[in-house]
Amino acid sequence: MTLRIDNLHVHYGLSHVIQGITLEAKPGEVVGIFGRNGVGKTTLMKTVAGWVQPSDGAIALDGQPFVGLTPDQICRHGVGFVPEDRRIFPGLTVEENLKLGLMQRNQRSRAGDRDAVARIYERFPRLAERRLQTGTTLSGGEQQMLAMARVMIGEPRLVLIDEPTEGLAPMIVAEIFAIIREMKANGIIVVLVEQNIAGALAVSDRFYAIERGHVVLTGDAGVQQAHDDLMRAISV
Amino acid sequence: MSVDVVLQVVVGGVLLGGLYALVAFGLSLIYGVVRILNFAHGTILAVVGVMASVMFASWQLSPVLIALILVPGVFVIGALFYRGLLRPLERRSPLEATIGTVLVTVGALLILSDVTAVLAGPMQRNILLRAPVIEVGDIIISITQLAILAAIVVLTLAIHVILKTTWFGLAVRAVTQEPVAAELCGARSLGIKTLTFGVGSATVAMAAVLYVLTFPVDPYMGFGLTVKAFTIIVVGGIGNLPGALIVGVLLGVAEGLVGLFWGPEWSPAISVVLLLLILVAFPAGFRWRRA
Repeated sequence: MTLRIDNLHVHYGLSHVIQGITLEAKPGEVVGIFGRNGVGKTTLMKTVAGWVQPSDGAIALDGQPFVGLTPDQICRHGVGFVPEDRRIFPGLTVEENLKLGLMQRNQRSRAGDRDAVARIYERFPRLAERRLQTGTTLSGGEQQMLAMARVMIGEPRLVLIDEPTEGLAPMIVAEIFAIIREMKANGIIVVLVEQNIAGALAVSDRFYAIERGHVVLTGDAGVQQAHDDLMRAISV
Repeated sequence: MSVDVVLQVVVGGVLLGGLYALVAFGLSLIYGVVRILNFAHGTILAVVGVMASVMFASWQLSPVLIALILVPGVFVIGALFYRGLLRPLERRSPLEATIGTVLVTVGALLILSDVTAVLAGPMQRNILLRAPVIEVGDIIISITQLAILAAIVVLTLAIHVILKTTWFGLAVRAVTQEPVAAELCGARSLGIKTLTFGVGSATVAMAAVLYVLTFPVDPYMGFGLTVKAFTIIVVGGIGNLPGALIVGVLLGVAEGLVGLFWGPEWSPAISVVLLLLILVAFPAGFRWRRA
């Protein structure tokens, strides 16, 4: 039950964005990915989710290789992706957005679907209040909650989260980190890209620092010395 | 010219417009989900209309039975057309894919029209049912026309209910709004696109059987219909059923009235003229829906 990324290379035309990244994560582990803008963090996420095809290397979850699969196939193999722009369906209601998240599940029943939606509403009362509102009428924080809830409802084994707290109020940021802790407690592998390094390190088990498409440092998020090394590695 | 004549023309225009709207629903459904402009869309109506009238003339089948035979057939052919000829183009670069889909759909339009003309003859045909008429004042409405109107209403409601309450409908709306997010949710895009192509084509086939019951069809009328459907979609909004119905009926009535006052040869031009006028007058488009 692990995520294995092995010597991954990604090109955008002539530019070599990811140059041999190797990464591993176990269930219930939160892995923080840090680095300056444009070093390939988002590309790494998109490649795992199937939106970008790697030029070389392997990605596998529980030994099941991903390379060559389409994003919807990868999703149904238990990979949830919360992109930076959230991708809420603007004209669909909160409830319809959540129901679409159920498509990730391979085995479904009417009762199971109802229970899943009810559990999400229990966990996110704000979404329950707004269940018949359309996606565009939600605040940024509510949209982020919905994006994360929509992934959680599919019961993924791996969740990729790209910059979830960007531009949000501190209270909502704390809520989002709390959700990530819950995912971890449920045995989900979380790969987190985040600019709020202090906040992200507090929920992470391990981290990877990326510089120009390479992993330049890995470390244990619980160790102070590692924090200092990380700051040095990714600052100018 | 008496008011009755005008009203009589308006009744015909409403029927014609309702059928245009059905054609436009299918096109809009397909464009919204698959992002392909199917230039052969209106030609499906022409070909199915000709087939229906030939079946009626040869075997005296009831129009309902004809629809039950042709509509599922067109559903399957539409789905296979997408999978066999259009889907492979999606692997090409965007420019090649766009040109490729235009070539394939325009090619299908030409081939379908010509083959139909060779097999069934290029002349106009329709199905003439002997039906009682109802007279409201001096306006005459046949039971057939009422049945067509009822069928248009029922089909529109059915499409609405399918889009609003089923998983297929939810997936269609999701893919139309945010194709990337739909795949993020694990929606099986290939299956949804194939099904949508089939459903969109089947909608035109249903419109075709209704159309041929009051209006004449010929193998080469398809492209004009496609242009009208484009007009309805642009003005009414993509994936917007009420908008398409309103614009379709307005267009049908406008065609009827233009034909009455200026002569029938001006009718086909009205959709393009209306489209241009509306685009100039409302460059930002209408807001049909509440924000």
